[in-house]
Amino acid sequence: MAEALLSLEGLVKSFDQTRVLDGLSLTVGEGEFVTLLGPSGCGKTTTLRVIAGLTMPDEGRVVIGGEDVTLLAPEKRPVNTVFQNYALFPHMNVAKNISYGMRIRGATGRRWKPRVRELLKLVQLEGYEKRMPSELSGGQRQRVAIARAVILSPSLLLLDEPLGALDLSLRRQMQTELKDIQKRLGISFVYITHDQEEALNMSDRIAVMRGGRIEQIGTPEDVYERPETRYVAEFIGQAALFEGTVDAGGASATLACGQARLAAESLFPGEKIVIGVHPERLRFSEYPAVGFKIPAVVLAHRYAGSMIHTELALSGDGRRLTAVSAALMSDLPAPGAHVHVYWDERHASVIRETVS
Amino acid sequence: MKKRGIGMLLPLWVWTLLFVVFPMGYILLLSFVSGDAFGIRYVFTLDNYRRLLSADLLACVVRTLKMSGLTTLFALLAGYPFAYFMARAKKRWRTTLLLLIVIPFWTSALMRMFGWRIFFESNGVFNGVLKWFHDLWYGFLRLFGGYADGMPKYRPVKLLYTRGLVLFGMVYTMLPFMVLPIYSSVEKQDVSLREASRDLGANPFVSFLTVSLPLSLPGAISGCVLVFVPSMGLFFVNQILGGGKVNYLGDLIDYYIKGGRDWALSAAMSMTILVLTFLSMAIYRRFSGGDEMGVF
Amino acid sequence: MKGKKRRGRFSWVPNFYLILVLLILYLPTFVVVAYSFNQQKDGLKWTGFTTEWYPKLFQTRQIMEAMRNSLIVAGASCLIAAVIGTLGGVAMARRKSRLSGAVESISAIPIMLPEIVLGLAFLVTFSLFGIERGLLSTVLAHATFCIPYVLILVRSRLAGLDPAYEEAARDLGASPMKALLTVTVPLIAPAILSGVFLAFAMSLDDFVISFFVKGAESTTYPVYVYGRVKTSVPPTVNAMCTVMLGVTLLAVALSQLFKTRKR
Repeated sequence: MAEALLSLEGLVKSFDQTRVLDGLSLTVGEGEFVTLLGPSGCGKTTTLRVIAGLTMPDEGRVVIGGEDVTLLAPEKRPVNTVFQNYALFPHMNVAKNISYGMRIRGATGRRWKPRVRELLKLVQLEGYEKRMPSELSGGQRQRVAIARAVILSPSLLLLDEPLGALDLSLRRQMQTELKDIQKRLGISFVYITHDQEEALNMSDRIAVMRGGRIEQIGTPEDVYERPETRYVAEFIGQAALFEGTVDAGGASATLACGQARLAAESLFPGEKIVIGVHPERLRFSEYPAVGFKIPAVVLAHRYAGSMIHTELALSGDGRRLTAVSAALMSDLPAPGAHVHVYWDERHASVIRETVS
Repeated sequence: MKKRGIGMLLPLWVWTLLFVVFPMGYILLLSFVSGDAFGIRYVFTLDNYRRLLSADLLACVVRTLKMSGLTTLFALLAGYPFAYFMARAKKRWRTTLLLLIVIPFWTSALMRMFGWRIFFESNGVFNGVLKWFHDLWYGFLRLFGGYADGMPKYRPVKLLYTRGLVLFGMVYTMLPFMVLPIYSSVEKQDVSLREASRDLGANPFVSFLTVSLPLSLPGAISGCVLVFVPSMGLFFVNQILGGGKVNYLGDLIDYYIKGGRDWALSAAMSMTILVLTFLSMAIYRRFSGGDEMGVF
Repeated sequence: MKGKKRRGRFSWVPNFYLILVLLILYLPTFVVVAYSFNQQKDGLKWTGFTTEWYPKLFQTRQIMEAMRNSLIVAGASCLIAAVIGTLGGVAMARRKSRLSGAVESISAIPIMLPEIVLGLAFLVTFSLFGIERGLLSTVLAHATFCIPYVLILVRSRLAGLDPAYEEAARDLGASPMKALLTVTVPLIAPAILSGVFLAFAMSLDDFVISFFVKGAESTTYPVYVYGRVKTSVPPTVNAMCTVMLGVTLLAVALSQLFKTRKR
């Protein structure tokens, strides 16, 4: 990992007796795209505000570029923010909004005008200088907010759910664009979202947050393929969880609904584990696969274009699962058919119960 | 970040202290010291309040309360239907009506009293119109021969300087204060509430009695307070339309401070009005669950 | 159905009542305005239309003075209210202590109390402070009841203002003062102006308080009208009232314009 640009050390913050941050620590490297992912109320916005200096932590330190900035006012920090609803100044046009940071420091038009043009080019809004924020679409406001936030060339850009207000197709497009802008500027992004697809798509690392602390941090592949806790497994990719006990020999586990094969891992016989399997990795067929004994009944198929979602009821414990497959409808067993569920054990994650 | 310079608050605090808190405290103090036309002596006394309880001043207090009470009652009777109809009017009319009822808030009440005076003057518009009907009637009688003698002279109706006209002027002045709170409490009622009561078998009148009226009660109470409180000190209506023949507390405050220069007694009268004000506001708070009083 | 028939027969009642009350409400204003165009010099007989009283306004010294005093007092007191009310409103919006809450309710007292109590309180206080009754005392008194109008409007505008604007400014390097001046104040400017014009109208038409605190040479126009009302009223007074009504309505219209204006 690159040299740490930002490090948060043991942040604690309470509002009215409620702990919003509970000993949060995080480091972000130079040029890195780190996403804070979590449901609303998990403390991700507060974390961002603490980094920006808009909220003072009760405990802990914020270090940026080796300098302790915990007590520094927001205007003195080398970070800038793209606010959730953009917070474009409604009384200033696009050029005035973007140049605000420079003008407030006394820059003359000769200096800021070329810079605004340059940034508008970066965000593909050439010629929009004179527009007012109220005349822009959501996507355009988004771009202006980014341009405004990067005009001072901050070493770190904070983005608070910047795509939250956009519709789905625009969101997809902006994801690529944002990543592109980040690469071209070569600065670090700390990005907040509750959308896991967004996080997986764009991030170098994802920090999954829960209850004011980081539950797991790692590359998108890490958190998706190797969740360390049940919470992460369920939150990212909606994995189906199977609780069980490792059998003698360690090659399989006994579950409430049957038996499953395990990959060669150093698991002790008798150990309590949870196996997490993402829906698109769940398979089912008329005949049991070697090492698996999970009988189920097909309840229904839901057609979703590229995918078919199949509702299954496990015969062992009556639980319901959804399996996603790319097969043709005609190849799938009809509703009511008795099937056996299995998966490639290398695609399943094993969580040791003691961890969570 | 949250702390803003106290320097910005300072002017407001100083001003409030000097010109709101201090004056209020000072009249409270004045009402408890002895004073007469020759000046104030800062000696504690209850004399001023005792004098208020003397026969003629007490009668004045009672008269004032009666006048304010009647004003409130008639303003409620006249204002409730107005507010109700207004709230039920078509939406595009509502904004216009609201503006029309609010404009009197901003324009001079004194000027409108002046207008009424001109209107009710014995040779004014009111009597002019009555005279026209009078002449028309007797002319009509003469046309059919029933009235051979010369036309009887029109004797102008003298409304000016009557207590009734003062009451009219008070109700007139205070009406917008009654209408606005009632309007807002009727207007924000969900239409579906009335529809539900109609659906359950209530006729329009029963529906009004059982649903709309109880729900608009806080507005009506708030309107009553907003009318009652200022009407206690509205002395110019009595002076202009009543000619100051009968005195109310407001007139006396004015008289004692300007004429008699008895500030202590004036202060005691003001305190009486103030106490009545706070009392009616407390009653209002109790009924409305501490809602804001703001009209603006 | 009986109900339906009834509703049809009496459906004119609401409109009739609304129009009737409104007519009564505006009748005296029409009377004053109409008589300002009456030829008759004294007395109330309508003898014909004329505009001769309007130029005459500027030839009557007392009327000129009353109008000038009214405008001076309204202008000065709403300017004081603008500064104090804006500063206080902005400062209050961001610090929510119990003390500032108390100050807010106390500073709203002047528009909630009977005017006569306030007038008396001002009179005795000014006399204690040694402030002579005149333009100054009138301005001080008017400013006191003008401040709440500005304060209330500024506070409510700020309450609806996303704090993110100011935070964005801070984030981009503006000091608290700079953020206030470049972002917050421009955004609440319509509210300030709305409050100022409303305060101007209220000050212009105030009678009771002016009546208590004015001096001999600081008679405002309502006080002048009150003084003349019991004697015979020359049509120039009607003309003056009409002019001032126009000024008031203009101020109110401007106030409403800024109130509804969205940035």
